[in-house]
Amino acid sequence: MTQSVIVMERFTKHYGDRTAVEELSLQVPAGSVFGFLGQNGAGKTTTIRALLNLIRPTSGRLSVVGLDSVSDSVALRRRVGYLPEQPEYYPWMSVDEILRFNASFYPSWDRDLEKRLVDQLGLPRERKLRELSRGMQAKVGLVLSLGSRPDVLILDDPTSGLDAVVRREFLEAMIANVHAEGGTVFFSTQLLHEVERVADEVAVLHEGRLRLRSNLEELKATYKRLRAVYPDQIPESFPVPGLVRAERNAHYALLTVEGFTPDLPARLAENGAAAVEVLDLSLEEIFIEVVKGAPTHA
Amino acid sequence: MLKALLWKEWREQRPIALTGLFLAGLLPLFIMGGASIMTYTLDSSTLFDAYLILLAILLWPLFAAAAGASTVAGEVGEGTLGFLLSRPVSRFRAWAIKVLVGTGTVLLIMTGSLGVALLLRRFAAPSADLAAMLDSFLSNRAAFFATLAFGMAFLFLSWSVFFSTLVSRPLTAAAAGILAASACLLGSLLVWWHLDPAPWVEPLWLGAQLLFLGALILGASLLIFARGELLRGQALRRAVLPAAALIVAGFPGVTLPFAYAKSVLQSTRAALTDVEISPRGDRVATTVWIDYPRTPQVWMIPIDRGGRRRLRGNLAFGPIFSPNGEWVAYFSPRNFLGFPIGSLDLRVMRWDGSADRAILSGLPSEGASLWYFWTAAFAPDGERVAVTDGEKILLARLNSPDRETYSLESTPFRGGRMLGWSEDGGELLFYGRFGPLPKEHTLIGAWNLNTRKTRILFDRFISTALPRGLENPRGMRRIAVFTKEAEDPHSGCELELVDARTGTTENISPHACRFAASLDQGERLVAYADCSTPPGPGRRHSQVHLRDLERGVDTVLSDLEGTTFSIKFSPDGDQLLVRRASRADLPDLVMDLRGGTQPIEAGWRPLGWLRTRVALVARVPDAAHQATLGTLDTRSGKISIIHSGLAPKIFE
Repeated sequence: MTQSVIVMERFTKHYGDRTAVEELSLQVPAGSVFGFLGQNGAGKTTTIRALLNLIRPTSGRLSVVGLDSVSDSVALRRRVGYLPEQPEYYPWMSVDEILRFNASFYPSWDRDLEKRLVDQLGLPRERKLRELSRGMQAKVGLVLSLGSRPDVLILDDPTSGLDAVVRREFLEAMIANVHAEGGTVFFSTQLLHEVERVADEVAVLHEGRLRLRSNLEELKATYKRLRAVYPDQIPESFPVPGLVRAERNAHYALLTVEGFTPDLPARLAENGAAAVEVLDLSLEEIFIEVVKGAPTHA
Repeated sequence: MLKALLWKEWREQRPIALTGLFLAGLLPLFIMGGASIMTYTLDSSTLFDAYLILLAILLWPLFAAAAGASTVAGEVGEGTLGFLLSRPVSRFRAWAIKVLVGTGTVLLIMTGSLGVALLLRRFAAPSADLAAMLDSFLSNRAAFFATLAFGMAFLFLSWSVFFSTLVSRPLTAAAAGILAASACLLGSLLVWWHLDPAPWVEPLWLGAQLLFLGALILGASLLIFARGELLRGQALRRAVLPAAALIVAGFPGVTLPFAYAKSVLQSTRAALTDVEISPRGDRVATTVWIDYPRTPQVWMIPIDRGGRRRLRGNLAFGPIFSPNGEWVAYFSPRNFLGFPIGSLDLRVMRWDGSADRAILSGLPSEGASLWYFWTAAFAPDGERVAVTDGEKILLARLNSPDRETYSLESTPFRGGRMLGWSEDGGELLFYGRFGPLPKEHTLIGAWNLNTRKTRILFDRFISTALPRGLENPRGMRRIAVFTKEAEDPHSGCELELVDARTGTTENISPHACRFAASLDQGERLVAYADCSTPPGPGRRHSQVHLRDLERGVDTVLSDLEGTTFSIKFSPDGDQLLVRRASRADLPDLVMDLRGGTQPIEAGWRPLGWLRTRVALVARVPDAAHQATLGTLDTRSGKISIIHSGLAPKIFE
């Protein structure tokens, strides 16, 4: 049985009357790359901040590498690399100064790794942080979060707003330095095609509630779209279990199903379809289906 | 990590520190410029004082507020707090280092500007001895000034830190901090003002109170910082309420104990003067000078039980008992912050230190050296107290706010000293010594409080020692005058007794030892020492005489080697305490009028009678002994120690 490095048990967070996250229970397996997905305001950042004890849970319990997020937060953060969406660094520090400053917090700081990443990412050590572009600052953040060789890397949509080249560098560095060495990556992002490239597991949070949690391959095998051609008339109903959505056109219907089984094309043929084509869905399409199909919690 | 955090915080506070030091350097120029505009001539001392005051009330609080405000709000404003708190560091440690470095910044500005102050004084008065000046400043006012000034600055820092955890703009936090600290300071001062504890506790204690208040507010700030959520959210609001409750509840908790604080400090570097024995002989009030002669305190020493106690804090001196021993009057030159001001207050308290209050305020006295021009005396009725500086007489009442002031300007007593009250309480007796030596003009007289007229009792062109009223706790009947006309300085003085009621003068001895005269309570006998006999070679001698004033019979009681310094009749009139010249081989004596003389144990000096057959004695410390007060049983000669280690110097 795979050990869980991040455990959330009925985590709830209220901001006044507003519920940001409600009864979230989730386990992230060790060594996985876990995509934590959701629309803006779904509660992803709240959850990540609570994991690091930057905010306190209203109720429930969170732990990372077996350490409680509230009572063991200092030890927890020592073993976690964290990169927020918009990191704010001390603008008066140079790249070298913030690396030294950050390194002092981590006994496990790897100077060789730091040097390698700085060279690889082309960071200018003597430049002040205020003089760096957004992309360069993101790279600094990557070095800061990877240099301690964390057991878990938590990323809160750090690549939004970055160009494609930097995003690619980012993901490659992340995979090469954490995941390849057995570490766990827990990241939230809006860029689902990136998740699709690297993630093993995904969870979708919608309006503070967990809507979906699955292995990415299984998810993609479960969610399919069927293109059924009807030469005469498109029937009123389709004998398809798990039908999420049906779109009717002149001579064909597009059916999105959850829980695809290989016998579904045959069933549609019996129902009058002249031809049935099985289409794969991208993660983004699945995400949209999931979010659209979710009940709204006002 | 610690080092890195300290470095980071210092880099953020550095602009504040440098600006503060820069302005501290410019401030003297502003003062001089302002004085120049107002055509006011500044001497170095005034410039120094003005600079220190501006530092304490303006520069230090403002920069303390700036340092405090930038601790958390500065990071929130820049958005870097999230970065810091997502590192593996506890919130307490992150907060504590911020406050520590903020405090260090304030201390740096304070130290640097004090350095500027000393340089300023040095350059403004190049002839001054810098070391002596520094020593004077440090020993005289530095402890008061530094503690209070740092307490104030710390309060401003604390409030600004507090608001820094609530708002995201340092400027807002600083402004709120300055307002809150000013209100808090004002509240503290109002409490002190209302309770009138000025001579009771030290400015040091007010400074300490402000430090504790600051610590309390910092505690509230920590509560918010530890429980808040990066200055957002419900948790922050939940933390603000207990923090506010902590401050509101803690304010009186911190303020009142300090305002009521009493001290039982050991005085190990002190001198002891004004040993006042209570009329019942059961306790002694005295002035203890810490770092003699700068910081006097009033202490009460019970005779029959332990527990000497400082009744009043620094800058209280000259205690005198009322005739019934219930009240003690004393002087204090303090303002309500505890600092010396240019005038004295006459205050009274019960013998246990309670019911302390000022009964006369604003007695003018320019500088500590002029404090002692003022003398005070209880009237025989115990209700009125008179004080005078030789220019005017002020009369206060213990149980009434009525005050009376009489000018001595047009009287012959102007510039003289008050000896005390007449026995009937209707007159004040004065003594004046005018004109050049050796033919001084000595004047003793009485000022009638009802008629405001003077009555001359003694008026001669003759040099005198300070006259003494002979023992009578209910007012003066006779005044002993030691006049000096003989050219031989060792031939003694002429002793005359002036009757305060009739003004008649009686010659007692032409060769009396100065100050050595005493009258029994029945005023029938006077004991005195004659220094003229025998004039043989070698050592000097003196004779103790007893004069029967009614019969005019003079008896020699004893012939003693060396001069006699003082004589005191016992309350029952049967014994004399005889204090001799300060020679180790000449012990002081207890002389029994019915026969017999016994020496007092070597090293001990008699200070006065506590009651019949019990005298107060003191041991002046030497290499083998501590300074000690004791009682002497004059029948057995046994000395019982009351208190030891009291003070290295004891003056009568």
